[in-house]
Amino acid sequence: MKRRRFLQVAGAAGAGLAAGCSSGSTDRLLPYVTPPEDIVPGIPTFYASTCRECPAGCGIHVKTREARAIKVEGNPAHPVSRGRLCARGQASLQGLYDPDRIRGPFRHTARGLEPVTWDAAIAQLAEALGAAAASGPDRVALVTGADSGALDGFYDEWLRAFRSTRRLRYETFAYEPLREASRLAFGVASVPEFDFASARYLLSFGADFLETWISPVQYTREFAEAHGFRDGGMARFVAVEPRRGLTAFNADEWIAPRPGTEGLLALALAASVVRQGRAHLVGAEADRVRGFLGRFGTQSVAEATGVDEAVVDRLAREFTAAQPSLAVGGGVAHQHRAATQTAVAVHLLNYVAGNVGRTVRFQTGRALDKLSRYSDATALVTAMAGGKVDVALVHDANPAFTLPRAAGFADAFRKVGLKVAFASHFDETAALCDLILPDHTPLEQWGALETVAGTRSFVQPAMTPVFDTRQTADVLAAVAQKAGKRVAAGAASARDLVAKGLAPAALEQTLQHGGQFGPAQQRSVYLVSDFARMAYQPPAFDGDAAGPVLVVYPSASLFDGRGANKGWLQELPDVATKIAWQSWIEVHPDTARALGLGTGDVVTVTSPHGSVEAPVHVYPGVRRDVVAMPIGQGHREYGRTAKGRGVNPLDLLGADATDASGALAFCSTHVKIQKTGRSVQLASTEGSARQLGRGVARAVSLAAARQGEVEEGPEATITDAERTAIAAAAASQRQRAYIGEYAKPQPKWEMTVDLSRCTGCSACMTACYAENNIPVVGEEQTVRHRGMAWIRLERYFEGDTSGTDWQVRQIPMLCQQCENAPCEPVCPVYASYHTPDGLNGQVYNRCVGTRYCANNCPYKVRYFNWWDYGTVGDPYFAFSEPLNWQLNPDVTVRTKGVMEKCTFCIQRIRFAQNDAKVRGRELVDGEITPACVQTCPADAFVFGDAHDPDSRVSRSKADARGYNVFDMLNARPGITYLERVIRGEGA
Amino acid sequence: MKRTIATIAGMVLLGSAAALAGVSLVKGQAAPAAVREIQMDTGLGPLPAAGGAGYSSLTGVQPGGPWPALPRRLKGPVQPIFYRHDIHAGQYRIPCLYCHNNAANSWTANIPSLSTCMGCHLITSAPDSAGNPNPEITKLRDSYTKGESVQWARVYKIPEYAHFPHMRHVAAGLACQTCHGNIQQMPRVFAAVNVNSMGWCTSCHMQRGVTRDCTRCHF
Repeated sequence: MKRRRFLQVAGAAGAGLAAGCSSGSTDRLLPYVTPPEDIVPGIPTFYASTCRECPAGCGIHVKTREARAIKVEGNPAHPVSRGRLCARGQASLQGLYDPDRIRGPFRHTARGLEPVTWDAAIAQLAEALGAAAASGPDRVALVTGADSGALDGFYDEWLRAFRSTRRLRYETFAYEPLREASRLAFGVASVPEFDFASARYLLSFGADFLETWISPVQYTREFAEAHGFRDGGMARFVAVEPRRGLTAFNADEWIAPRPGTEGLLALALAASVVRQGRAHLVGAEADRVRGFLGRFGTQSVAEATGVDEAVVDRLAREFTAAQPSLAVGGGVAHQHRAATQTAVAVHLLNYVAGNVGRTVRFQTGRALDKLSRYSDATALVTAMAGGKVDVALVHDANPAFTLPRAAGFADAFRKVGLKVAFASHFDETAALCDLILPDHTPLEQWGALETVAGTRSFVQPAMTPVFDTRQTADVLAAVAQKAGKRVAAGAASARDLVAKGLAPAALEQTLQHGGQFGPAQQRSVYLVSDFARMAYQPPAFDGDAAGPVLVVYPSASLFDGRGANKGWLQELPDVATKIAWQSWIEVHPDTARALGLGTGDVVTVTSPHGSVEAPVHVYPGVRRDVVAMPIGQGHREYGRTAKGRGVNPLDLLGADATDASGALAFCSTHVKIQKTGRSVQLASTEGSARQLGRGVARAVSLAAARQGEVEEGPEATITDAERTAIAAAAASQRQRAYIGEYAKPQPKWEMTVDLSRCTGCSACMTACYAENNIPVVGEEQTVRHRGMAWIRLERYFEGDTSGTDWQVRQIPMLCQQCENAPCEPVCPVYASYHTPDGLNGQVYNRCVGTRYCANNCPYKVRYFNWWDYGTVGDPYFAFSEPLNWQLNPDVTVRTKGVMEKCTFCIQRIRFAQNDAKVRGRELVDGEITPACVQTCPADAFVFGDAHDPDSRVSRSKADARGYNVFDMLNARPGITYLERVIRGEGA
Repeated sequence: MKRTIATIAGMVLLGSAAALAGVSLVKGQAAPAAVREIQMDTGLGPLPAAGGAGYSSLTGVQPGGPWPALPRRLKGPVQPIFYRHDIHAGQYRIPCLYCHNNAANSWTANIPSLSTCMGCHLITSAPDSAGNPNPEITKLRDSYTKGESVQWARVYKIPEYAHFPHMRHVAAGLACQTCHGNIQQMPRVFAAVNVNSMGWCTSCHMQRGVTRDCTRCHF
């Protein structure tokens, strides 16, 4: 693949490309002057790159059509993503085409915001930097995100050229306690590599590793490998955290200790392991550890944590009986004032169980290890407030939003002489800046990241920049040149830096591949002798202890708020609460009853540091003495989608609430909940939290699954007489509808969904939005249940939710492509019909919008276009320029008044069929993957031809756990779900 | 650049092929060839009457000889350059896929890039007797030199809710004329067939016994 040459004219020939113009004026077709070598109009071109939506660094393939990026997929060759991608990665496209992006350089003056030329801006910056460097050392500050590799080194060198070392690699979640604990316990200040895939027993202390923690796509894949039911076996997963989020939904058991006591529990577990004689320790080390752990008697810990002694002993036994096991700590357990102690405790537990070196491995050179700490950020704030910084440059970070307001970033930042934002949006930080020099989005950038040890993951532009933006490294290089400094041997651009040391042919090959993926260098570690330096006490909390403890957690879709301007992510219902577009506070049903609160009641949440208002979501997944709020909303600036939406719970936190590692303690305060008397309707997509005996999402215990037993659904209650009657009716129906056989054998497209692998991460939903031009309908329409998502994640609670002994069932619900579809016979115009290859076809241009089909669909997977979401001027127009550039040209943009639904990505089926036919080859099983199947990090879906007995889907369908939802309706769905398997105690 | 070289190479090949067939691309060196109507198999029976409205007659027209006479009335939208299919596809019998090459491998057929045109027109400018280059070719050369595209008026457009795989129809051996009409006789292209009437598609599909499934095209 060659780099895209700059196209002078980008138009291309062909039907179906020019969206939006139907008749009337003559369309114009503009051919290329010279055709680019890598573009065939109508055929996609892929570019390998790296996702920059979080620091994990998943490899991606960007699908482009006619030189526009239209879809992002995982890169199958990449060691982190292995071809899969999460919802946030899918939504990176909406960052590229965000209509609120800054379209060129700006300058803030007394008169307001003024456009400025790049040359003038560079000259102004170079002059200010020269003056700052001349006036003393460390007068320049550069804040970046989690950068690594070539550009990271360049930033440091550039900064040194201006006599400064004030560099901040700022991430909201920088895993300081984990790194510090590794240093304290093993002498290596590093985030270890966790091997979820080979663990047979998983114990998570708060780590939301299926949502945002470290590398969610990789961990979801590995978790599904370990925890998915296969050949009669699976790992057991126990989640220990005061709030049950998506990760803990997947746990076989949920333990909810008092917030802040996770570390004590881990130590008690380790002590119990030692006591039971199951520790993998020898010699003097064993004595030392035993001596230290002796302090943590099960009884005292049980009192502190609220977890029963018997449970501790049982967990310790199970944890060491399964080999290898893995304990991870993160999330809320690493976000209070005793976070570092907790992390040390979890390390110790792993060490005692013999997991260090097996499932917990230390490697050299992880990008996360270099991240700045929260205390580094507050030190910079202090320096700025003290007038010690003349020029501050912020790139790929928004500290004005992600630091607690009490940290005083904004006030200190204002004292800096020249503030420069290399931002894509006028976010909270950019709004404070004097110069706004918009950066390329990651899909337009160059880079070579070294996020994980052993890999060099390349970032390359997938298309020419959408707006008049420049990559920050290019601008910095130009500034250095202007200021007469020689940086990085005079490299003029990010591309030069990336290409350095690679011959053109090698560069091309590396770019095609996505990077260089070598084995990671392992480091063997031993417990240091003075690992027990710290005091192990439950952490202190601010505020009145009578009130509940506030847990603040990152949103799985909006992350730390950076995704808040992307419609796809706003409309993606929260993985746990199923609320979209809004902020909320989770309150336990008993607490809510005591306070007289119901879902939707707006309350004032007050801490010693501030107060916010948010609607209540009554939620059994929090302890009675805990309330929880997601981070991500509450932007005061940013784009139209994010601004003024919801509240930011960071406003409730104290700036000096840190732990021993200098990390911000997100969980550090009690709050007071007061009713305001107002109430709102939550934009929730949850129909019912209970299955009410419908048998939609089924689960079976491991012991039963091994015997080939399954959970029976309501169809099991049908009598034999009824069954015979149904069969007779079906036979007669078939006979009457019979119109002969097709001349040639036809495939039958079917799907299976393994619920023991599906984690509910919802990446499939966003992938579907991207692939199928699904409009974002907005908060108001979502409240009215008019969301258009073709696939949704249904979530049900099972069992008594008053305690912690309950389960969560999740099931992706999409068109079931029924063989005997209830939607088909009721369509008066044959818009809904059965295709020869076994799909429920939906012909948009035939549909007249009676909505009978949606009425008759038992699965409620048909969606009606109440508005002209694709038409300029409609009040709900969803594709403002340039968002419409992302539209998949292979899929019709639906108009008002038509019904739509999942098509099994029929455009991909037809594309593959046409390609096979033209090349005279046979379709290969697994060649066709709908968007949801392709992106699923857990590999829960199997898609293929059920008429082929050897296809993966045919084999998967035959699994004993297979069932059809609402089987008693005789719709004969084309989707078979495989029951979830829950591994109970001791199993 | 690679593409330009390929185009020139293609032109040379085309030239040699023409020479082998006893014709020449350069005016005035033509060996007399058998005079016959240029016919192509459309699979739909006889072609529309040559010389009718919008069509020029190819009777007696030879490569290298005088150009086909224009009909009394031209049909179709006026184009920025008066490109004549009746000369290129008719008189010189340049295969459709030489310029519209993407029709064979993509869903969409392409309008040829200017560099494709220049593959021949770098050399030939169809000068008049005084040696002045043809003004239409001059327009093309100017656009190419300036690096500007040509804004052709679109003749065929099927709606967004229908997807037409050109490559399947080319692979099936269908002549382009089947849907695009007797294009080698059109000095200016017009829609000879209403491809937007679905009956046009389905009648052919029924005749040939190929799929009539809605979701083959509508998705």
